[in-house]
Amino acid sequence: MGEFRMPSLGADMEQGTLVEWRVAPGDSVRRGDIVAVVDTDKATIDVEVFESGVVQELLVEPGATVPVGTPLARIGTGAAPAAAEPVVAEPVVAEPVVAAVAEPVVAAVAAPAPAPGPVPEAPARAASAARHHASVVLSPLVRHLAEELGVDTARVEGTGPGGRVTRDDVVRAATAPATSAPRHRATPRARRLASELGVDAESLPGGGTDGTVRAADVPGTPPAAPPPTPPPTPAPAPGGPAPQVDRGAAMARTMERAWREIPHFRVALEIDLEPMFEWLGRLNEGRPPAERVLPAAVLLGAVARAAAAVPGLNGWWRDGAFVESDTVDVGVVVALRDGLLVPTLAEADRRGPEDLMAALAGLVDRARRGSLRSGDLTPASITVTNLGDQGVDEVDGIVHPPQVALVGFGRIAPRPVAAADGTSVVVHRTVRATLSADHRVTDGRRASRFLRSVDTHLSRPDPPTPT
Amino acid sequence: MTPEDATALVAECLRPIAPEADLSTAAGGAVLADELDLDSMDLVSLYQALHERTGLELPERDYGELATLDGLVSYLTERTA
Repeated sequence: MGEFRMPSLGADMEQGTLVEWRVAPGDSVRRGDIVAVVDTDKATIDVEVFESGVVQELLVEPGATVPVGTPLARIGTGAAPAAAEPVVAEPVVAEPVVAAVAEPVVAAVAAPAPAPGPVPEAPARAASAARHHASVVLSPLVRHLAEELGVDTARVEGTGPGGRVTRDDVVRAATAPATSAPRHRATPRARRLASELGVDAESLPGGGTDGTVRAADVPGTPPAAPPPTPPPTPAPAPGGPAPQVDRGAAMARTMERAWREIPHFRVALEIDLEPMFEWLGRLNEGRPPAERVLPAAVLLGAVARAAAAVPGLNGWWRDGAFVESDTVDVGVVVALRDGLLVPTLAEADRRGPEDLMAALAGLVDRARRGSLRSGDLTPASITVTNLGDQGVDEVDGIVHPPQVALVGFGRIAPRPVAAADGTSVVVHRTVRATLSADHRVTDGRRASRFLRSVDTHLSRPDPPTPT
Repeated sequence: MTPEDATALVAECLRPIAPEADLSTAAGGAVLADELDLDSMDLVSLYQALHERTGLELPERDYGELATLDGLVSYLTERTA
């Protein structure tokens, strides 16, 4: 019997929040099926399962934040057990899903976590709650939610077995005063955040113009009217870190760390793309627009092949040493309307232009729709940023730790270049490539070799023969 | 296809790609991608939609003519005449 665990969806991910189950006990799953949706502090990800079987039991309920490696579900070969057997000592009859699946989370958190998890105080808090209200056993999840929403669980009537306070009870208590209040418009983002918390966004007091409920209003902000239950526990400080994830803040932390820790240097090369356009034009001839390969995909492939050909830049700085990656997994910076995401295009050096183009288009599309898969967030070994569409000539990029190199491309534009005879000037389409690198790991000589290798792969392209 | 039809078709094909785009305020001579904040993937989607609606091939060598709204409209008007 296998366990489906909270996956690591990035080098710096320590925990994730289960947003939604896409399967139920008894469902058959096949390797690659999307079984759950997980929120990291960077993105909401569709998580694939890596073994086939039958879902035996779901161990974590939506809304729970657990460390990487925590078992989320059990997957076996037989049929699901007739009834889930909660890991709770007390007699439980027909316990609602909320309480039934919340308890194993306690066990998972209390047990030595496979990954460093910042939640050692959770069981302690639960224990202290149990001391104060001997009859009310709270799962850390419910307690956490109550704190977020500013609800005093001691004053909430529990509807669970034995008067247990369930997640629904907490949500009800938190939103009670708003049910009689006028409903507010909510922004789409606020509605999504709220539904992740199990809260009705439109019942929340809005802080935006016309009382519109904005994302910032969703988590934990006590109702404007006198709260029904003054929170005895410290409520989230106004303006303090919201319990919901802040993707911009995650990127800010990564960049801050990069700038603080990585001694950057940069080399640049202007690459003549006329040879690339010649074969690319032939490849795209007669194809409908959607099946044509864009230069961006070819540039990506050239970087990946250079990363495989010139060792020393494709990998990670770990514990004071460079670790070369076995595969070339390229992080692709994708611009969104409100920020950016860096999903991964795995084994990019082994893909031909059409395969790369399809993979890139799929990646960008999923990133923009907010439906990335876990496979899209395997830790990248090198990153490419392409600002060509933004109309600038070059990028002086920042390396994404723990990676050691980032390749930037500016726009492809007609520029004067020296003709082959060296005595006249012609106009060719060129691109300026830059390599930002970590000087703890590499040096200018190797970085230069790398960019010249990118040039070689672009100037004398040998696109893999169609299969 | 009249220029009015062509403009309407472009607007219709743009809607799923850039719902907030407003062609009525876009300068006809400006580069469409800059004016509407489209990237190369968005342009591919636009050209694909126009290809499906008109049957025109819109080959890469004509991309230069397709870059502005005016260019796109006159291209569609002439080729579908």
